[in-house]
Amino acid sequence: MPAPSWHTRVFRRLLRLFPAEFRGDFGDEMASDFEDQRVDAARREGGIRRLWWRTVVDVLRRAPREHADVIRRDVGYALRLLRRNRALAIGGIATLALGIGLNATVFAVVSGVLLRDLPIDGSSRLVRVYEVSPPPARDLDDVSADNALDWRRATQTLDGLAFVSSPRVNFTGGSEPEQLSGMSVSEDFFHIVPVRAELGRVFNDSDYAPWRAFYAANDPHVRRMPSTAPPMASILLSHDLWQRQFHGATDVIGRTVTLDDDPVRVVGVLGPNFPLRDFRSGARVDYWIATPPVPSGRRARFLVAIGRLRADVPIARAQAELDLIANRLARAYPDDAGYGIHITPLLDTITANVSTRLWFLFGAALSVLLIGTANVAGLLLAHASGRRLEMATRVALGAGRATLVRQSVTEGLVLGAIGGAAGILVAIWTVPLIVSIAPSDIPRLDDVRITWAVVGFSVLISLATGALAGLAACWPFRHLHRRPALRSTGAGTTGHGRRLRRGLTVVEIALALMLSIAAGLLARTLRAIDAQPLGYDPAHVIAIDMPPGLAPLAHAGGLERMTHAQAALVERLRTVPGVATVGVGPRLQSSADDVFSSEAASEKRVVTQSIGPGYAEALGAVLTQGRTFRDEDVDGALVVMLNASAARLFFGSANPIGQTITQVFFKRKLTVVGVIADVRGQPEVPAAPGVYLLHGQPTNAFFSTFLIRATGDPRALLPAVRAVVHDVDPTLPLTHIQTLDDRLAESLAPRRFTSGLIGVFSTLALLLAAIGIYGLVAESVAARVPEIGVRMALGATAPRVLVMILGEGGVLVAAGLALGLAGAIALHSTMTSLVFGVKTTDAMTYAIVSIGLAAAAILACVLPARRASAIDPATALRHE
Amino acid sequence: MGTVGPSAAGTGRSPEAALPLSAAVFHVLLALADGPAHGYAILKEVEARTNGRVQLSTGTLYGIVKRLLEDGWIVESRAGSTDRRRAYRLTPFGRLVAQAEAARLSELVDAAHAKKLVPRPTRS
Repeated sequence: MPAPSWHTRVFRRLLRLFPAEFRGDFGDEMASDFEDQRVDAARREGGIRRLWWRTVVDVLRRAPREHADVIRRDVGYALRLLRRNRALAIGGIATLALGIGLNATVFAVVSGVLLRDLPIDGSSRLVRVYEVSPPPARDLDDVSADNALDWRRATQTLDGLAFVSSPRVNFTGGSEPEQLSGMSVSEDFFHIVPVRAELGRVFNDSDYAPWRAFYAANDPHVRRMPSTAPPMASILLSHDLWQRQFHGATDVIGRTVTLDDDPVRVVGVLGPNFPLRDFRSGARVDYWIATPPVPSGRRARFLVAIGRLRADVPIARAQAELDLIANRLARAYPDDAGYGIHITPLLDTITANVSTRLWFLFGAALSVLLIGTANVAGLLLAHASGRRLEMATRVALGAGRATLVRQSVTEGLVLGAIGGAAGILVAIWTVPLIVSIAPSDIPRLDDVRITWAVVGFSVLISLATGALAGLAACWPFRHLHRRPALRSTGAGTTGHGRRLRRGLTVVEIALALMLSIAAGLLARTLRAIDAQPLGYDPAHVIAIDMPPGLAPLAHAGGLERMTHAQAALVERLRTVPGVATVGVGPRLQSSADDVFSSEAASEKRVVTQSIGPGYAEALGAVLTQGRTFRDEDVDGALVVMLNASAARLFFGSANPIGQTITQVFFKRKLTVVGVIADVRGQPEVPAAPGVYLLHGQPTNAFFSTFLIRATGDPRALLPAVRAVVHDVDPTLPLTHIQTLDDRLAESLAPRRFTSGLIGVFSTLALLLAAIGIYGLVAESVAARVPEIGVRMALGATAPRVLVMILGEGGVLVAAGLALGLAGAIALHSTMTSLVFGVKTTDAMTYAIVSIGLAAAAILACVLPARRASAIDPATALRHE
Repeated sequence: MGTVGPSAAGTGRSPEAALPLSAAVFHVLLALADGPAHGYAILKEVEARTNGRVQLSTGTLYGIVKRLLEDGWIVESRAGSTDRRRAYRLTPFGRLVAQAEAARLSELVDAAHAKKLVPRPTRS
């Protein structure tokens, strides 16, 4: 036979588009037919060209159909297999549904919170710009208006820079007085965040021009002496506020409402899906107010700056430009010396505090899925081992290795597809669940839902796990075509399959151990936090945030009248039945500070809080020395209380009672009357040195909280408290009411959430790993019935058989634990930011968790081992 | 050829259940009606019988052969096979299917004749 022409060689290449099986069956014939066709065609003008054209088109059309045929047949085969093996089907599908459902859920959260763009045009170009404090601290800081205005003038890389602050005000003029959270925004804001108003319009220059004129005419550095009346500010309402206060009335546009005591004009309503929340607190924004930045000194760094990168400007170029600007400003102004500028994508700043936690959860969920995959692979493998004879037969009949692999992978893929579909159903149920229990510090929870990306991800991991499990299941048979196994007898527990299953089981135990150690560390973290001394007693106390300065009570009266008004309200509240004590104090999260000195200590900047008489009692603070403030102190000599840290700072070990400290700015001396234990707002954050000034002596805090300690359930007091407040002033909004217990729980909610989820994940992991090792040992026992029968017939006692089987499992458990411990130690630093009061390599946790997991795994081996020890040798031998 | 067991012919299936056939399949069955033939012979026969109007390509031909083998309409035939290529022949069931298809087409042509769409009868 002559060597094939190049035409035929090319044709054979082309045939590779067909499935291997089809090629094996018909490839040679097709090639020789083609060769004959070619010889024929060569006799005709242009015949070869036409033949090639026809042939290529034909192959391209037919090859996909042949592949589809193969797939259909394999899938049908896999489905029949699942129908015949209920245990395999139910176990495999349930495991994958759980694993994939879990991952789909966590991915929905990760993608909704961390990955998806903000729903703003060109949101990937939105950035937040910080000032950076001088080295060595180099902390990110807010921005002063003076600097920000200079940046805006100088930048070439930013297309707009806007300045935002977060006023909280009393709102009147709607249906009820209310305390609102606002966003004060400068000129460029709606250029950077291009949204349209639902009603009316967003801000334009006409809302800012009068203010710029006003500030030009009145030097802003000289406060409270305007020569002309300030213009009326424009505000936009949030959709919610519009519905709540105006019941969706369209004539709200142009209306005048009152924020604190200032009249403002409503120019529009923003839609319900405005994507940005308050940049500091993450709270929903109720209204936006148009305010140009007011230069008030370069040290007054309190604005949030957001900008938009010009198209095609990478963030690094903007950073380089801002570095130059920062250098220039630092040379020009002493207040800016050492300060830098830092620019970062806006989305990153919104999600910064949760991204570690969420990625950790994602990794944990993937581990659970990996364990599940190993289990499914084990199931398929056990099954394939049982079919060793069938496999060998098929190989003997000419099925190639590729065919066996393909069929095994198809089985895995079919399981994965069904499990994945079920997993998506699971996620449809669990995603809303997880959103409802997620702590409020996770931003963008509204964006968490099952999107096409989540479905795509689920499909991807379903197919990946399925393929992986299928590959693992055929791995032991990869040499079958070289070493025909027809001779070996049935009940397949031979070599490779078992070795692989044992390996998978070891990995399962290792992963389960790692997750359990994580869960253990987080549980110990919660316990460590619970064990922290709070310095106060949160039970039975209700906290009511009062509106800024009780302004409506104080109308034009200034701080003094406001203080009296507060005192009067406290007096009234104390008479309410069921009230133990009442006191006025700062917001719990307030961070005011001031500079003090004592004879023993030079000037120190310490936390400074202004509290009224009764506050320490209402808080349940622990008095360690001296006494607390009394009502009559207000009119007496200047007094002060310290927390224990401040007492140490200013007086060392000396008794501070009766000594004085100096408030440096006012150059006045205050006498220490009492010391209380450190009070922790957040249990895991140690209290800083703190000085308690007496409310109204003569300082006062604009933001205050009323603490009411009840003799019983504090919530039962609320109606009476409302009545008293309404009686004093019906325009006073009474919002932001919480018990201290709730506040404490809220501050711990993020940790409890993470810890709870990891707990659930690790429990699942443990369960799956236990099922995995149980299945392996049970199958081994089943396969060794004759052998065990022989041993027992030869005198092995039941306990010895039990120990033998347990030993087999024990080796795997030990290997798994060793691998898991190594893994946990290797990855311990991923948990650094998640734990408190316990080291990420805490030996005790590692030991306890390892022992617990070993016990659970051995327990899973006991069941089949007992079955083995109960074997009746006579029956077993008869089977043989 | 993997999963195909014993010939499906004679298992009580009705030949009519497979109708209508695609033109290519019917051409292949027709080509085998005279006796065993190998692939290239089938290609040539179809081409010659249709005066070159129908030119099967190898991909289509063997796709059809594979399905006909699986369905038991044809089998490999020792007669006509060489060491280079196998010959195929109709099974009795395959012949029944071909006959049924021919009858179906014939009825259609009769109908077309009655409607005067065809100038004269194509068979006596």
